[in-house]
Amino acid sequence: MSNLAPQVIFIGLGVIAVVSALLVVVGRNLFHAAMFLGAYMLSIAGFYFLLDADLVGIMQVFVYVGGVIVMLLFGVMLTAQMTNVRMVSAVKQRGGTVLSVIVLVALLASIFKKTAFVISQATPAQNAISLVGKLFMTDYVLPFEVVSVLLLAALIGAIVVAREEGRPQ
Amino acid sequence: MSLESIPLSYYLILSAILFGIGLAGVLLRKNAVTILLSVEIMLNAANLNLVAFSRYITPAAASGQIFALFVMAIAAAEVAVGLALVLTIYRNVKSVNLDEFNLFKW
Repeated sequence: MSNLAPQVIFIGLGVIAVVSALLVVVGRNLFHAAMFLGAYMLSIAGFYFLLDADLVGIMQVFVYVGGVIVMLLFGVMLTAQMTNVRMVSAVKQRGGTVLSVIVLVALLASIFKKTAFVISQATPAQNAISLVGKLFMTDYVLPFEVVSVLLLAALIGAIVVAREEGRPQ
Repeated sequence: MSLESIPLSYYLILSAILFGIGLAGVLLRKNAVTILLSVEIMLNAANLNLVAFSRYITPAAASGQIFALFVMAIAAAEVAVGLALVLTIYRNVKSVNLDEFNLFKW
């Protein structure tokens, strides 16, 4: 493996991520936008593998590409008749919005460029999956349980909100 | 091993760019489902930041990865509730254009 390989992978994944994110935002076809969001999330998973975060990368593919995209596609298809609705964005302050977003990104980039981060040279944890599992059950057990309650509440709430009213239970 | 070949600031700048794209989508688009997609772009950009910090600053402890996993769980809950709300409003208003979601205006 040559020394340049990580940089080539980084640039390739970065181009895929930026292009697919732009296509999600500017595209007019919602189905295509959801597909490009899947490409974007897969490229982010590639970054996780590049950063030695295997578990997070696998979870990204499972949860986002496998779950969230499918759910969003259901949303796109269930509101399908809106293709005949005028999709032209009629935001008045388009120029100002784009300008302020560009200024924000430039500001953040200059801050990141100037800040001297303390980079640790320690080797990453060899068995990250078991380490994360142990941390979930010890140090982070309270947030873990709170998240499980939150997921349950969100699931029940989504069903209650989306259920058609007036239909016999 | 990508520690020397790719500086940490590259990851941070890339995720700032992706966050900016998602933010522009939230601010500029009027379609409720597109805005949900753009929020997902922003959440993923923030997650990339967390994992990059975890790898470069504290590689031995996996705390950044745990944060990213929590963000994923909350993003999944957000998508479920957000889509349910959009579907319900679509059923009532027959539109996903945010300009027509004015039921609560006086």
